[in-house]
Amino acid sequence: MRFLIVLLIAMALATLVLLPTILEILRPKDNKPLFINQNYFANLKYFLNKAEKEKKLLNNNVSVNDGDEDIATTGNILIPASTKMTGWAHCNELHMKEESILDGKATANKVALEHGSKFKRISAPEITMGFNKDEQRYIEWDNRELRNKVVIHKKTDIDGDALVIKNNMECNTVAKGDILVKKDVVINGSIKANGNITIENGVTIMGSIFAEGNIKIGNNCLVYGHIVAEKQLTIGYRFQGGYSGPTNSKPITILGETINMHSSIINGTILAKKYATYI
Amino acid sequence: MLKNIIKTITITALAGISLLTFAKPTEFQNKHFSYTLSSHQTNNHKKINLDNEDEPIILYPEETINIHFLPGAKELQSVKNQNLANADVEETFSEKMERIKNENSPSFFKQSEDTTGSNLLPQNPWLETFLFATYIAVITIVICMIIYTIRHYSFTWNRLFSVQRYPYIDIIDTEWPNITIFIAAHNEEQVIANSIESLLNIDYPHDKLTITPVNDRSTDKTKEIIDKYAALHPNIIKPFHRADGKPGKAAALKDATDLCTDDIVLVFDADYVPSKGLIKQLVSPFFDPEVGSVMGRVVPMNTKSNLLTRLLELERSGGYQVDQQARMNLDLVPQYGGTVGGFRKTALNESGGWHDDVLAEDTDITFRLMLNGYKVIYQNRSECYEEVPEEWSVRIKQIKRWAKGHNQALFRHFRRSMSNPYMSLSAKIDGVFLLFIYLMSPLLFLSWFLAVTLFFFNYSPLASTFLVLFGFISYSALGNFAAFFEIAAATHLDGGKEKLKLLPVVYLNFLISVIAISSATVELIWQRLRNNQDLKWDKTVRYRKDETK
Repeated sequence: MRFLIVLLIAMALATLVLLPTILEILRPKDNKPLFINQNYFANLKYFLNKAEKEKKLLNNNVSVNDGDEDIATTGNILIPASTKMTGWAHCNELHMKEESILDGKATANKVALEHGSKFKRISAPEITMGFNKDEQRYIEWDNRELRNKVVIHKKTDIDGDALVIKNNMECNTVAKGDILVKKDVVINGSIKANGNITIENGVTIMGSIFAEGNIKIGNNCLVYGHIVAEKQLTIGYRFQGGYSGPTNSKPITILGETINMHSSIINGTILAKKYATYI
Repeated sequence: MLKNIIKTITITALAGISLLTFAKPTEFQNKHFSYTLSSHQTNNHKKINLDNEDEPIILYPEETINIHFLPGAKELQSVKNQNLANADVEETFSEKMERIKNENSPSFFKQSEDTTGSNLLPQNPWLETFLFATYIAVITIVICMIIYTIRHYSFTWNRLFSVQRYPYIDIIDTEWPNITIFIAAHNEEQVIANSIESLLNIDYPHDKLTITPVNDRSTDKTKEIIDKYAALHPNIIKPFHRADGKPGKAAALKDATDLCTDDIVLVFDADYVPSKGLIKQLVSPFFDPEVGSVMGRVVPMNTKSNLLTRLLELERSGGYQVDQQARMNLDLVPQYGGTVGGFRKTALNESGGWHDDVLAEDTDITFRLMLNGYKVIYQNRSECYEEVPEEWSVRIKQIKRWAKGHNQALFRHFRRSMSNPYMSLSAKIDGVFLLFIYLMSPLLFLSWFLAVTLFFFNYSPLASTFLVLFGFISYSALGNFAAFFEIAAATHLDGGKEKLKLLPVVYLNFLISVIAISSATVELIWQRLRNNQDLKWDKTVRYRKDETK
């Protein structure tokens, strides 16, 4: 008898503790599948589509005032010197004056930046920072077999502190450490380092550059693939990223935690987790 | 619903009762045992039930008392006498019994000077050796468990508080490469149409896309459905029908890969419903030449069906949202899961291509790619719906197949993982933990029995009883629940406030999984001992209604 009473009390206590669980099993409040945003992808037309849908798409040129948010227009947008804009800017041409800040995203056909301007994400077929579009170089390269060839270097292959690439290469190269690409080398392929990548002046890379650390690119370099630095990215003078011509287009994405750029022309997207700055 | 609840409660109750029965300490079992008392003067043996308070017996000062539990009564000779002659002469029987009970209760519940408990053990060297070996085994298993506990907690900590790594998700402006998408299908008439429709709606450039439904010896209407879509979209859908050959997903994909001309191949099971933006997300990591394989996140869609599907949703959530993403953050070994992902064909071929003699081709590929210097990337935001088992029997079959396949990978890749020149030390360590993960269930199961054995023999030679007690309580409070903590964190990150209430029931799924995995491991070992390499591939049952009707 005493055992039964103890058992009943124990069962009652257990039921009390498990009451929320039991209720959720019997009368579920949340048994829906996890919501998946079916369209989730960094859609460059998202803001334009939204503005059109909400009938907020302007058709005039806009000069931004300090603190303005979200502007969509078929005309041009000017962010004056030392002015900060937040949100998303969509326009035909975006001009960011000296020391201006775009604390958000921009999509445009053309973007021109002046010294000291800072932004988080800009996407355009032509992003210029003191670089003339006519000076772009175009090189044809479409060897699929070479594109697929990957040479992976062990740590023991590394010469001193880094894998040093002194001569032109016709393959994708991966190093389980740092990479140093010497002056004027042409790489028909991509490079990837688990550490840092340093690229000297005049280097041409037909593929992408990926580093789990920092990437430092010298002057007069040309890159036709993506540049992804998980830490800091520094790009030298007269840099060309991708290509935007009348018949050909090679858009690229440049990513980094912080990005410091000098005179450049880029077709594609520049995205920094913190800020990208045209020094 | 009710049937499932009753089933669940019955299983829980049975598990609880058996656990209580096995784990019950001797102190609480005394009433089931009798003590034998003997007196020098009378040489008289008398059995007394301790529960029987109606028999107060006064014992005399010169009396000697022998104590022995009845189950071991046959070996009375080997029991050491415990002389209590110096006891207080005024002591009543009930007082004396209380003292005897205290002196003989398990070491966990008393402060004993003799921590070996040898005064209660038969003096048998074989038994002592066995107990010592058992003790060492238990300690080893507990250390392994603690390592996995630390691993679970560090992953959860990393996922909750550290910087999250999504290096490829923002590659948005690019020339997309040509890709092929395989839909693995074996008798999938219920779901294949939905999967093809979803893939036709994705926002990947259609001129760079080939969809190849891999129809592996289907005997239902799968072939007709695929051919119907192929006729409507001849430039995109290029089916691969397989009428014979070795059965199994890996074998079918192996044949399909041989015919594929694109270097980047994505794989979906026929019950998966890819979202519009998913394919670009899964392709973007392949711009990195070091990436050999990519894995997205799997999200159960039939969560409304019953308790099992809801528990599996929690389990998947913990596995992907926390475990896989933490491994991605820490640059360890995220795992390719065989679906909602893809591989680089050249990398796979360099690593030996598909192996059709494995049950978990995904784990096998993960390790072979890693051993050849490639990386597996996990994209947590690349989510895709799947169907999870709605019946326990199907679930048990599924997890048994995973366990066998994973343990196969352990036997194949463990040694090479340890000495691999491409993998970092941390990746090697994580790789080993990952390989051993399905072996922990049988070890845990074994440790329960071994620990209970030691408990009843009161055997604890290397540590003070207090330390053992402290360790036991600490582990029970923290260690046992590390995996559940991971699930809780994942559910929190997913915003499932109400779903968290189901956490206590996750233990049920855990217990059943432990038993299923243990049985699968024993089966695999038995098969290897018999040199039987034939592994049966069980197709997971589909629950969706026939979409062709």
